[in-house]
Amino acid sequence: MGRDESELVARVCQGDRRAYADLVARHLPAVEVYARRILGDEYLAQDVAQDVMLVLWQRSDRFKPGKSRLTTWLHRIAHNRCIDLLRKPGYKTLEDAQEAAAQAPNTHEMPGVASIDGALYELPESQRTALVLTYYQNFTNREVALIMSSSVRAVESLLCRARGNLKKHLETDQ
Amino acid sequence: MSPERESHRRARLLIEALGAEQSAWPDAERQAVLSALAESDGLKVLHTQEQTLDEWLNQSAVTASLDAQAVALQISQSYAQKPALEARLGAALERIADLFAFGSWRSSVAASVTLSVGVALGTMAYVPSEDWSNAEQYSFTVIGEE
Repeated sequence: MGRDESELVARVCQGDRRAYADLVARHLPAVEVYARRILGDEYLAQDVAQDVMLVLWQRSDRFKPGKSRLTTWLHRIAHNRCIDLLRKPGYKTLEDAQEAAAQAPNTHEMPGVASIDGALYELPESQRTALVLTYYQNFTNREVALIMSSSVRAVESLLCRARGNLKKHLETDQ
Repeated sequence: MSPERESHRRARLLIEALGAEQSAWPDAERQAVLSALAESDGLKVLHTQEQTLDEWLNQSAVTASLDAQAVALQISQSYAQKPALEARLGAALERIADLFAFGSWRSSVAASVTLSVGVALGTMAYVPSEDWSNAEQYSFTVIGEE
């Protein structure tokens, strides 16, 4: 995290609304997109993203700049919120994915957008999380391990399995 | 395992985990992966497969829809900040210190309030350790009446 951003966090701790708005503008889109890829639901993802931004406003004093980047801290909170939702009884990720796959048009020669998002939702939660954090959110394996409360070795193993499963999906689609 | 086989095994793991794009590989290991890739036909085949998967993954186009400015405004105007316990305790102690910082009479009031509270608490909390309810059962002998 740059000095600029740690200064903004310090100002947020003192109730500076302009600094807070600046940080929200920087981090809200990434957190929302992450939650949407994990949950497969636009409105739940919006709830999670706003919840994370509320934590940034109310509890920014809990963030330790020397320990991680701000984005890592925010994604860790988002990850925990997503897990809470996914583990609620009756959460229908797969059905949502199938519905999304049926609704979105396939305009590519390769398996389409709906197909890749559907395939992502079909991955086990931990594999999907590791892949999304690494591939789409550009975190290092070490940061992903921190977000998922896991080890780097375990993250590498999850990534191999996630990509292996997607390759199988890709082969059956073609 | 020979160092060469070990470096190939590591390269395979990284390509399988992180994909074909070099920028996704750890900086410290990128050169070793490239060297292993140049030496091994098996790794080249794997690299091509991972490239295809990367292209597929790149087609996912999930976008954010929330208005960041509106969210920031709504949260910061609707919710109070919640400082950590240490910060709240510190602020409370500062307020108490401020209260007693000026005026010599305040220290006397503080001392008397503390003393009064202590006495009140002591009275409420006192539990007699001896039972005197049956005191009349004891016989007392008056000296000289024996």
